[in-house]
Amino acid sequence: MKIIGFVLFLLGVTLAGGYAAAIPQNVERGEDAPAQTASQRISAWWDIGGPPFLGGMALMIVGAVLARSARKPADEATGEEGPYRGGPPSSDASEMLKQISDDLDALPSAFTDKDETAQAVLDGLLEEGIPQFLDRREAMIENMGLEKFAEMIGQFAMMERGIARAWSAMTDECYAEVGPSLDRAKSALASARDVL
Amino acid sequence: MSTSTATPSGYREVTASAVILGVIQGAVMTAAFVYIGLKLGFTLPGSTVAAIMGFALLRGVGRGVFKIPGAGSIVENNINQTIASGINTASSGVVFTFPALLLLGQDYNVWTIILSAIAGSFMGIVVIIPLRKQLIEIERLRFPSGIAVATILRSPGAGAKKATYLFAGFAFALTLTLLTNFHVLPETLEIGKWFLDGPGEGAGGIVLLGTSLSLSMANVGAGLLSGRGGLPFALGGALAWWIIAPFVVSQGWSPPGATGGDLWGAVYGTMLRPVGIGVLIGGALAGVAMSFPAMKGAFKSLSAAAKLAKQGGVASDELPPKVLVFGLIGSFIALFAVALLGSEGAVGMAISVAIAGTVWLGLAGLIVAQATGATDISPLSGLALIAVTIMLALTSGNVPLAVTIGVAVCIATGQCADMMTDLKTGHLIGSIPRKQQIVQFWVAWIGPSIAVGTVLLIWQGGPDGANGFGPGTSLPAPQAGALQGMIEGVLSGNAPVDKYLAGAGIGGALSLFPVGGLGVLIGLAMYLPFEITLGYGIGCLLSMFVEKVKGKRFIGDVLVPLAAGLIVGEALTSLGITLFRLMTGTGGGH
Repeated sequence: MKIIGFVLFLLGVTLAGGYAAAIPQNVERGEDAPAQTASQRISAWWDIGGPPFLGGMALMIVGAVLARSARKPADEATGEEGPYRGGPPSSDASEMLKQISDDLDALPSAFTDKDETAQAVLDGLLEEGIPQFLDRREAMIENMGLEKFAEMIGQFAMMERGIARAWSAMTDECYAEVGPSLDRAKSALASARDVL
Repeated sequence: MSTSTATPSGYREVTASAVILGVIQGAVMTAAFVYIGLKLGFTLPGSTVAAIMGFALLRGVGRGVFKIPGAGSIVENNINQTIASGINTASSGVVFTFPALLLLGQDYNVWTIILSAIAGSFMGIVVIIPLRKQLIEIERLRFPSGIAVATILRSPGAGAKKATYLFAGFAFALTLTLLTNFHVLPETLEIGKWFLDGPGEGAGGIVLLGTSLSLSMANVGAGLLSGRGGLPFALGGALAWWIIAPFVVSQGWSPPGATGGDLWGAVYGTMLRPVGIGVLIGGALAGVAMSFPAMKGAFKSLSAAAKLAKQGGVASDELPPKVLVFGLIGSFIALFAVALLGSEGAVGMAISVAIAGTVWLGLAGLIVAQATGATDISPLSGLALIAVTIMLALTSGNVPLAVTIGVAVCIATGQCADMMTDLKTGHLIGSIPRKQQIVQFWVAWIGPSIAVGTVLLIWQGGPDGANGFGPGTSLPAPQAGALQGMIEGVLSGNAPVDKYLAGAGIGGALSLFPVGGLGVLIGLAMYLPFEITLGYGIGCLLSMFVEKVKGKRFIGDVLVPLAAGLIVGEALTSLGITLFRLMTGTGGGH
């Protein structure tokens, strides 16, 4: 059903796009062309392209509806990656947040000097842990709904900024900023987990 | 220098030195880029230059010469770069619009132009308050240039390997940009033409004429950073040039007898491009409707953050929603005042112009922010053309007023794209968005004033105190010439309204498909020549392949710094070459 939806949609875009671009052969172009009102222009276009254009639009709508309706049950049943927006299911998303939380909890609460290990942990979270969680974005939207997801991801983003700020402060050797930044990240992460 | 909003830890962020350096850099770049825009028809983004200068001056001089501990921190440099690029944004907004008024010989009121430009600048910042949450946090758009600048800012702590990849990308882009600019290599590989026997005609001919590849490494770099998310943009280019273009030619809708460049120009200029503009608009409008729950969530989140901050007695990370409301009202009043002055007191017309201007400005800001976030390309000029067209219709052909409102729209949309990119950079390095937005508010009036002043200065530097630029002079002002041509076309009844409307319908339907931002991406692909879309698509495919083979960590460790190097390398080399050509009198060749 998804494939049928996709094919219909593609056919529709092609048909509608092609006929949207139609220009009657007797129409003069360019700056020196005789003036036309907007309705004259639309009417001239409609005469050669209107009905097929509408047909293309109808195909697009049917294809989009099929793709949307086919997507959710299949994802729920198989847990497979969706064909268009993708992402593994959200079932392990809370596990991943727990892992991030454990990683953050394992770091010291205050810093007075360069800590290569801590910076490597932060680097790993920024480069790998966070992007992996975000790969679950589409599946989470399916499960939570867009509004709830927006609430959760707002907290998650605050956590990201906290971790990034701790990394930057560590690099800048402003160690007094690292601890508070991590505290903010932990607090935001706790809120995100609550919502999730 | 002490911090005006220092954290208790003393981490340097919004400092007087960052603000002053940002303003100086922004002011110099604005004046210089206005000149470049009048000469060559394009301006340049300022973020990269400002970030690198920030390292040299804030960090290097601050720590080395003035012995300021912690000077030039990553987040402090982000503030400097945000201010500089925010001021410089006005250069493209003004260069594309205001000179057209002078070239058309219309009367104008310079203070009205400046008021409109400043209103646009403020409104661009206001519009992105909810959009930041929507596009950066919820939709997770990539903003390739934002990632590139963040990579530069993070380079002191990123390790030698990442620095090597950054430099490798930089060196490759520098070499290729030099080779193409000095004509050792072509700027575009016209791949299709290799297979043409004659000049190119018919359906097969347009496929080959349209198939070309830009050797812009910034383009490929943006694709590398976008990965799978950018693929619909590349597919949109293929749809436009490999399916729709041959279809329209086979139907006999191209001018009879047109071949080669004439055929390409007719298909692109009178069919694909106007339909693409319509698709962009329809896609953005439908996108707003489709993402309403997320927007609602974003607003709730902003309000909740403001409330929590108030209860806890600490500053929120976010500007509260009331700033958006007051900002919109303020900008509406400013546009109303502009329209009232420009229409000689016609209150009804002024109200309709102010409403349409404000609504269009918000919508155009959304389109540009989405397009920039997904592809790094902003359809600024197309949206300004539509703004002027709408205003000409509303004002019954009042050209000075239409262009004056066009100035506001062009600056606002540019501001949206720039601010969103800077906020993405800030997100990646841990800056506080509220601080970035507040400093941008402080300086939003500077860029428009300098840009308008520079245009007037150059114009009045001509013979008899006028005609300092335009056709036949050393500053041809090509973009303003295009707007001038479009205005003359609209006044003579030749705006492709049918294409805009049909395209808007397609854009709306595209947004129904379960791929975020599809309407805007496909519209942008139709709006641009295929050479850009193809290069970007190659970058996307490469990124997807590398991720599949090497994994996500490899992307972060190798591909991101490499791609950032490509973007930064091309931007800085192009700037250097442009300045060199202007100084040696060999400019204008573009």
